[in-house]
Amino acid sequence: MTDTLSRRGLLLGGAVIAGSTAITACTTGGQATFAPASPSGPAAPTPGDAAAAPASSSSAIVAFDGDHQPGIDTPSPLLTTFLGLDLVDRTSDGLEAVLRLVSDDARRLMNGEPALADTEPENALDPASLTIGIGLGRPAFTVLGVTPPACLPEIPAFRTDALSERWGQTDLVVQVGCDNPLTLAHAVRMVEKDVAPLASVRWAQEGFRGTPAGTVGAMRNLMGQVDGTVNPRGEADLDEVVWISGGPAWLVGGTVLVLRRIRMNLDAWDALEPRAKELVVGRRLDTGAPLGGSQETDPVDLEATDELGLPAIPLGSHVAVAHSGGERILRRPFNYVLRRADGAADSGLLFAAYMRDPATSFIPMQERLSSMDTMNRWVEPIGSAAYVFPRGSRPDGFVGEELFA
Amino acid sequence: MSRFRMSRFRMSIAAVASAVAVMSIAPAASAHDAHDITVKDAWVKTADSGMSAVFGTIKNRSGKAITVVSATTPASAMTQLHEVVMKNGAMVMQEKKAGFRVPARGKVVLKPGGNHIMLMQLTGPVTAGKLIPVTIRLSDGSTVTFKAVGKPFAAGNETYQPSASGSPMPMSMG
Repeated sequence: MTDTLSRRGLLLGGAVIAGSTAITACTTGGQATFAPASPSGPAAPTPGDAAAAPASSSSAIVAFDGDHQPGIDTPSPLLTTFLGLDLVDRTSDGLEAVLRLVSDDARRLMNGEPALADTEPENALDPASLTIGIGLGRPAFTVLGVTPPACLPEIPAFRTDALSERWGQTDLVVQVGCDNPLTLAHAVRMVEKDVAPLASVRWAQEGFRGTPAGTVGAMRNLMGQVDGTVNPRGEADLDEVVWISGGPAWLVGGTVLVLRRIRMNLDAWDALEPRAKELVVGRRLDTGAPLGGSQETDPVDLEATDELGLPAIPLGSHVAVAHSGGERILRRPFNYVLRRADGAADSGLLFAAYMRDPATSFIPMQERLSSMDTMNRWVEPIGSAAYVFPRGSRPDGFVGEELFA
Repeated sequence: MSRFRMSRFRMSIAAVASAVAVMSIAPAASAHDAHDITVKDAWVKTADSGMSAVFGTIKNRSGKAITVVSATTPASAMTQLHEVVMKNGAMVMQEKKAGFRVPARGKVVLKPGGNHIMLMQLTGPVTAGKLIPVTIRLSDGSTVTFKAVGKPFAAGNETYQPSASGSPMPMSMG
């Protein structure tokens, strides 16, 4: 982007479309309450040799079993790997075996214990808030011979999408998060080895953030923006936005992940003046405060005006377009940087968001963004997939076991 | 008591049919029952055919040592208890005729490179994630059945020595 960006252009860039809210089966279930998937807290510090003991900040253990799968409402980790798996053994037994193996590995590794048949057991000993979750894509339900749940619709290609199957929809996703890169690599390898006879890895999407943070903690993306500020907060909010409350037993307490790979044109973005960048986003770069506000957590006020009486947040800015429909999702984004064969950087964002039903949240929001968001000039979605995460595992059980009863 | 137990042991290996009778009298005669022995973390190496091995941790919560004398599974036509020993500078595995002695309030860990339950003649493929039922027979005549999950595993191909006097022969564990 080398042309000059005018404030006027931004202000005229978008018109607001009211998002319609269709209600589907997944959002009409009876109200249910869940105990929070409580992390069991940091493990007791290891006495003795400080050099041998893991850093206290990285010895935290997150519980695998619970009403919800881990890695969704638990604090965002520093590092993540999403593994997209395609079933080789396309039978119900094959799918069940994958879910059983990954669940067993997850339960042990998240607790800082080696997996069964772990050939590098020492690499498992610092759990570092490891979380491992499993999601099923629409094709997995073909394997089961059943219709996918209504809350897992096809995600359409949007106007600005340049999607590649390289990063496309797979049968399954295994979502691994951790604050220790060695622990993360070991967990990913353990899962890959175990499922190798049953499923192949189509892609691994690896991401990072600058600091670990809580559920509502935002991070900075590679464009320098504070990303992920507006998120559901607290149990009631998560119940309303994230956790599925109706449908079959395996689904109650589950959620839907939309995973998008968004390439950034950082060279063009760098050519913008800081003030122009803020007008594109609708937030200040330094504090993350919405324009017209003073701090990050201030509500986005689309009615606020500046000293000239113009909208403080341009109507075509990312924040304005995203907020205008009122849809809510839980965002948990990560940055990525890959190197192409010629050495050039391929940078972007792993947009990971969780919701009860994309049809009433992500899809209308993204339809609006794809047609009106000024930021589209600097970003290009190149991957898109969606998965339903079954409820959390019961002790000694495995994720999704009710599907095979 | 010990003679009685030995006689029960002979009965139990003499014929499968008699094992049922043995079990029926075992509770009255035995100070410990099958619940004193538990098997956890059980897994079995995946294999298409031929041989494989079962690993896990056998725990004894009773105050008396108990010996695992044999094992059976529908996954294998023939099953042996094996140990791995160092012979002539090489790790070789051989049948452990005395069985696995589980100390009072102790445990025995079955692991690659150590004690294991050898499946000598698989009746079908052992696939990843599949649950294989395994029954171990104890020195008091009782049995414990557990499930071992199929896990792909690259190592564990120690040389196998079929008898104490024979020369080591290479034999894959699975």
